[in-house]
Amino acid sequence: MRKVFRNKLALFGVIVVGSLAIVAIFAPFIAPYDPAEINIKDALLSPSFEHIFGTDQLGRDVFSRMIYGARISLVIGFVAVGIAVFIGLIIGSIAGYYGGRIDSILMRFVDMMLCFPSFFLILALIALLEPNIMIIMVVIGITSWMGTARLIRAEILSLKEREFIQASKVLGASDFRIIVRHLIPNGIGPVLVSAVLGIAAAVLIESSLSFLGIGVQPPTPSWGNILMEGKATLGVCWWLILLPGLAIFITVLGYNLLGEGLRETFGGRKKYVA
Amino acid sequence: MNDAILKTENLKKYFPVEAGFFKREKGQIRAVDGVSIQLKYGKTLGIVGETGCGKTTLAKLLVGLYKPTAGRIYYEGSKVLIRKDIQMVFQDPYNSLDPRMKINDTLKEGIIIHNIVESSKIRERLLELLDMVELPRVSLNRYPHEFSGGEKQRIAIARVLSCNPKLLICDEPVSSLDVSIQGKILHLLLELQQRLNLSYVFISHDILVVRAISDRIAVMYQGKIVEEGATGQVCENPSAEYTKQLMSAASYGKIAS
Repeated sequence: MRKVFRNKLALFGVIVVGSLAIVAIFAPFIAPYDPAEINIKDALLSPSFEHIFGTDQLGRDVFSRMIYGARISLVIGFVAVGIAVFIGLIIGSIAGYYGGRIDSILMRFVDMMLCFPSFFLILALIALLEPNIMIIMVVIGITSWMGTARLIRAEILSLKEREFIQASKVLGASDFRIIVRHLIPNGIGPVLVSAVLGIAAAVLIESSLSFLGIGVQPPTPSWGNILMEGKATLGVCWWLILLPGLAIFITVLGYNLLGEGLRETFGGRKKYVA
Repeated sequence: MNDAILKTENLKKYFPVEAGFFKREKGQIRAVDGVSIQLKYGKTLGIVGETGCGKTTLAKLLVGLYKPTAGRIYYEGSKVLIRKDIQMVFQDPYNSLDPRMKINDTLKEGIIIHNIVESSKIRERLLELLDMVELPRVSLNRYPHEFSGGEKQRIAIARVLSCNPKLLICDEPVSSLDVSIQGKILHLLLELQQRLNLSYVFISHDILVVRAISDRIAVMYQGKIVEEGATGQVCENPSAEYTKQLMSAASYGKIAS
């Protein structure tokens, strides 16, 4: 961990990710106004001391909306990646551990999933189902587990030949026990790094979907739909576009830098001290 | 028949050599080629041979990690392998302990899998195991990398003892250790054998180590047993040419050191 802090870019990532988490968790205490409070009289005010990020066309405080939007974006990012890692771990570890034909079938399925342009797959799925937060998280999750599956498979392929796995087999451990207690804990490092990068990707997908109007539905605020609502007044109200855009940019950058920092620290894979 | 804890008849293991795009079988490696051995209760059978002669393959056949190509293995006269009765000590203690698990969890595994003692008595049992292999009791909360090679091998021995085995297959258990530690581990194995009435199959490339611990010795060369007999007889008066070479190489080594 100390190495992560020594790397200046990664440190920037840690600060961004950490402060976003604080903002998201304590949103009700930080936000100066109710994000849903409509006040037509004060519509489209430019940033001032009273409304530091200005107001939108319904007179809602943009700063408060963005703080609550951080909550939605990050929850979607975390849960979607959680689902993806869960699916990826199951498929990847079964493929890696059993090998042979099972491996070939599962990995060809992974290749097939990777062939779909995933954003259009997500668009199609959400168009078929109704766009609510649960569905969005699940759909992002089930279209982005392939990287995890490949990583954990590769780790398990090399780990399963090691003597401590054979020792467990001789001891009588079941396949399930060997995978869950020995193989996954030892091979999880690269998966965690890619999960951090995955959160950035999920936040971006959520924003894109909301911007297209099929993501998080108004009045629930998300960075994507604040952007979309701002699009109508693009020429006059720069703050409705620039600020949420910047927030998305900095968040994605923060997660990417943190992920890269972790990758450098662990050398892409976990090193074992003998 | 009934006084043998382990007996093999004409045991064979061939590995296919695959080549080309369609993985056609191009030939075989005869790692173990017709091995018949026998081990009596409470005794030690030493198996000695050079690197690549099939010793480790034989060990893995005996504990069921490999399926034999041909031949039979009898455990106490039966063909069924009772998992917890036959355990294996591996060559490299740096590799045979899970680096992410505390010693506590490593030792607990066998007890939990085979339900050896009730869960309230597990801790007591773990401390007893540590005493048996002469490790301090505080070791339970440590990770494998905090131990030396000899200590790790003691942990590995404690792990296999956790499920009360009758037979231990020791695959080069001391070869990766310092000479000074080797003696201590051998001594520990002998002591445990007396106390717990264990039987050993002890595999090594070093005939002097094997001589120190075995009642009988089998000499293995290219997958076959070339000579088998009581320890004294094999070492003092070898009949096979290969055994003679091993003995003379070993005594040169002794003079040199």
